[in-house]
Amino acid sequence: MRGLPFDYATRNLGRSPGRLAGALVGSTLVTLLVIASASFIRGMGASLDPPAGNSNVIFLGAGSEESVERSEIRMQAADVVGTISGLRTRLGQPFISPEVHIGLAVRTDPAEPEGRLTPLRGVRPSAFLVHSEVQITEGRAPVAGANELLVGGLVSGQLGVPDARLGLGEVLHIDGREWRIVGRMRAPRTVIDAEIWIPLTDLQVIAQRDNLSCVIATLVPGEADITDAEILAAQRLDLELAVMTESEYYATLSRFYAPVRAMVLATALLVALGGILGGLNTMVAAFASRVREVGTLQVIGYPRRAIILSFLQESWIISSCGALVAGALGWAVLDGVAVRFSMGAFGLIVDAPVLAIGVGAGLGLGLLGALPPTIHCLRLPVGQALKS
Amino acid sequence: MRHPRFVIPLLLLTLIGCAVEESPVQTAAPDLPPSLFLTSPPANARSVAEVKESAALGDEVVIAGQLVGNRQIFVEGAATFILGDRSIEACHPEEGCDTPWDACCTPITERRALSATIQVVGEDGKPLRTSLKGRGALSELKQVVVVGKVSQRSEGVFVVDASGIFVAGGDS
Repeated sequence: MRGLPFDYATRNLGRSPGRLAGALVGSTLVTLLVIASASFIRGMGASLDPPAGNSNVIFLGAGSEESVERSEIRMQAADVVGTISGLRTRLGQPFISPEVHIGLAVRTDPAEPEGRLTPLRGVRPSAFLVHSEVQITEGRAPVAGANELLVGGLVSGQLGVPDARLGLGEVLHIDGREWRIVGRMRAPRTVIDAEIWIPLTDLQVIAQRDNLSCVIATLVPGEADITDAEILAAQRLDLELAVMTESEYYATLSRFYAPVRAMVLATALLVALGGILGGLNTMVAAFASRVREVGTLQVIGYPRRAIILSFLQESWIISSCGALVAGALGWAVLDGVAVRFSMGAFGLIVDAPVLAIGVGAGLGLGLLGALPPTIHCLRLPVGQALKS
Repeated sequence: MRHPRFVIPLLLLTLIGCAVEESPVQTAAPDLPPSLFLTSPPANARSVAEVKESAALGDEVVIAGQLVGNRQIFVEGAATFILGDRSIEACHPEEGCDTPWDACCTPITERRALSATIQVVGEDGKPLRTSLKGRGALSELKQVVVVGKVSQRSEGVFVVDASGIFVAGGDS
């Protein structure tokens, strides 16, 4: 097939600088919105996924399987869980973490009328064994009775303050008292990244409770499994325990937020559809003025397929440039941005799959936006095209 | 042979592959004792409440009860289930319980006081790794009579190692 040279397409782009700029901006915006939507879905999904290789089991109050914040179990549950054989240990310390999970109003300024509801987790030092994904990046773990806090990486987004405001030595106000930040932690792509950790007994004092929300234990694969935990729960009916793996718990949370993700996906599709229709409109207007050119090319001897391909090249150059700009912007600006949701927060994720979706959407936009008007232009008989 | 220099190494590789690759050992689920499910109800059965009040650790007991009182009656993957006293009423769907057998319309403290844990153990004294659901017509809300020995007994804990189970209604 005799084809049009590639520079024919590139040179045609400069015929109308205004139209070119408009198409480029439009393509960039649509691709950026698709990237933002994909990063939202990806970030929300990743924060609700347990870390890879997780072999933790959660003991909750019976009937509270869908929300650890509503769960209450007795303090002795932690000791009872310790009787399971097959628990992971290190230097004689079993991987058992008794915890209290609660959302409380946190103020950065005592003059604030209302603080922001922030997830707090009361823990003992064994929590760092069970939650191996947590890393203390600055400072140290808080000590009980000293009004100290350990703050996650996304808490600044949760509280609506710059990250520097939550540096070591800074003060937060909880329950009318000052709490000093002695450590910063990161647990990327987990709900923990949006939490404030506080010594277990301190949180129990604040919340005026003498029980736990849950006990989380790490099992050694091959030595113990969820069945061992369920047997214990069945034998200790007095403790009124429900048991599930941490993976199952987060899967339950993920299903709960599935409608939100579906809504975001639908919005992204609508935005993309709008972009396609806008592109169609622009292309029809652009090609309408080139009908005679198309007829001339056919008279010269170029087949219709070659003309279609050349027009698609023009459209793809614009859309791919827009997609690349949008991808760079998305990666530079959106990646890691904290988004508040429910009682916590998660970070937007702009990684390879998200960029691939965005760039793919941009290229698809270029194809779908150009093909119909191109074919429409070529349906005219050559003679009629030359006279237009 | 046309290409002997390829055949022999290929054969060797095949033999090595067969020697190294072992089919994964399938651990069969332990089977239940053949005499576990009884064909006629044992005599002198007492209610869960009565047995919990009077039986001591190590006693042989005959308990009449119903599979009710907890959202999860059977432990998946283990020969363990919850036996409730027949006085615990299963709830109607309009009462808002997740399942009829979780009996949420009865206060949980009352349900716990009227419940026992039944397990079928192996030689190591641990529950066998096979679910009892559906075995011997066992299912939620069935009325059963259990023969066994009290293996754990403390405040709030009552565990019986079953040697015989009669399911009322049989295979229905």
